[in-house]
Amino acid sequence: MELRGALVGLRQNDIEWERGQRALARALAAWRAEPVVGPVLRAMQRFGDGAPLDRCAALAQLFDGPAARGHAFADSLVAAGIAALDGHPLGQLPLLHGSRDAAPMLVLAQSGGATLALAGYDGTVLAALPRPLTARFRPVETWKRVLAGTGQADHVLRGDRQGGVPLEVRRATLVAGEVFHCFGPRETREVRQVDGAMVVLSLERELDGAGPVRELAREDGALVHQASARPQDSRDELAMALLGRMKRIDAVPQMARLALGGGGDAMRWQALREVIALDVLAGVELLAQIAADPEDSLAAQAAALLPALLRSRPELRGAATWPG
Amino acid sequence: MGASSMANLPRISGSGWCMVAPVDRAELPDLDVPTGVFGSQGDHARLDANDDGHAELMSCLYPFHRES
Repeated sequence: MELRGALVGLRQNDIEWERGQRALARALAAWRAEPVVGPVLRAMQRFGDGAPLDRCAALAQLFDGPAARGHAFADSLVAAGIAALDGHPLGQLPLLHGSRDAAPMLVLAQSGGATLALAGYDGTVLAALPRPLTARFRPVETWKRVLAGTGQADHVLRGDRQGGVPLEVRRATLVAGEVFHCFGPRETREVRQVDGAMVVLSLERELDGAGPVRELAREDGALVHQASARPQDSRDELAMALLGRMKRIDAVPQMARLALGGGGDAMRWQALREVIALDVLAGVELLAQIAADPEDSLAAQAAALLPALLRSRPELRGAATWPG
Repeated sequence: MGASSMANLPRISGSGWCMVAPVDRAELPDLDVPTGVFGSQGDHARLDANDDGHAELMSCLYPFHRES
């Protein structure tokens, strides 16, 4: 296929590309309405809203019982996608995509904290990577079905103690048709080796209030790194850092809501710091409110900061009762 | 009056009006265990093997994307 001329044309005029993209978007919409797809996507909405998987039959059947339904679901995307790209070879299917070299991925559906994705593992790239030194435990529940290919994965488990004990690592063989479930805070499966290529259908859903992603050293279980579990928390943190440096005091009410809301501790603490820096009286009141709630995961830190702040700024005493 | 110009105004406290100097952000402690941004990991060499179910959309595709 000769693409050079078409690429030169695109540099001068992208109307044809946009026309192709609209056609690809229509092809995806038609795929979403196919009989093997529509019920899955509707079930995915319910699953994302919190329904148990066994109450979302069309979705559950992709990961339960014979592999034929999973194959039919993935095959329908491949057929629709290839047919659409055949007509518009410079186009991109407008799906969210992960670009990691060893495990590129297409997100087929997202609802709430749930994601249905199709991942391809490249055995050559995987083989070139160094052995893992850590294991990442994420606050998600995951179901995966191997649709094609074979490989090996490390099934890593952690105990109640953090540090001082090596993580338990079991080698698991992956074969086409196999399904495995993973409770992320306690276990993780990391694909280590693939014979050629492997395709996996993956379903995951965030667990409520399960904290950050914890990355532990395999050799002794020590905490190596901790990361936010939700992209929205990190986006909020970045936005608040920027608004804080812009001295946008008008953002304080929204920041205060984030500090009191259901996000991760790191994002909430950042919100609290920004409120204190922008409007110290509102910040002290917020700090007192958090410190007074024994159920709040930030209560201890807030209770430690509040008296320290009041000692260094006696003029703030009484602010916690400020009517606002 | 711009929003930022309000930061150092006198504010009312429980005991009446007073001048409240702003608190320097650097005076406020971080959490005991720092938390990196979403997607960060310590074992950088294995980033390419990360198969978390998270992905992004190329910005040029936004007009053509529909959440399912």
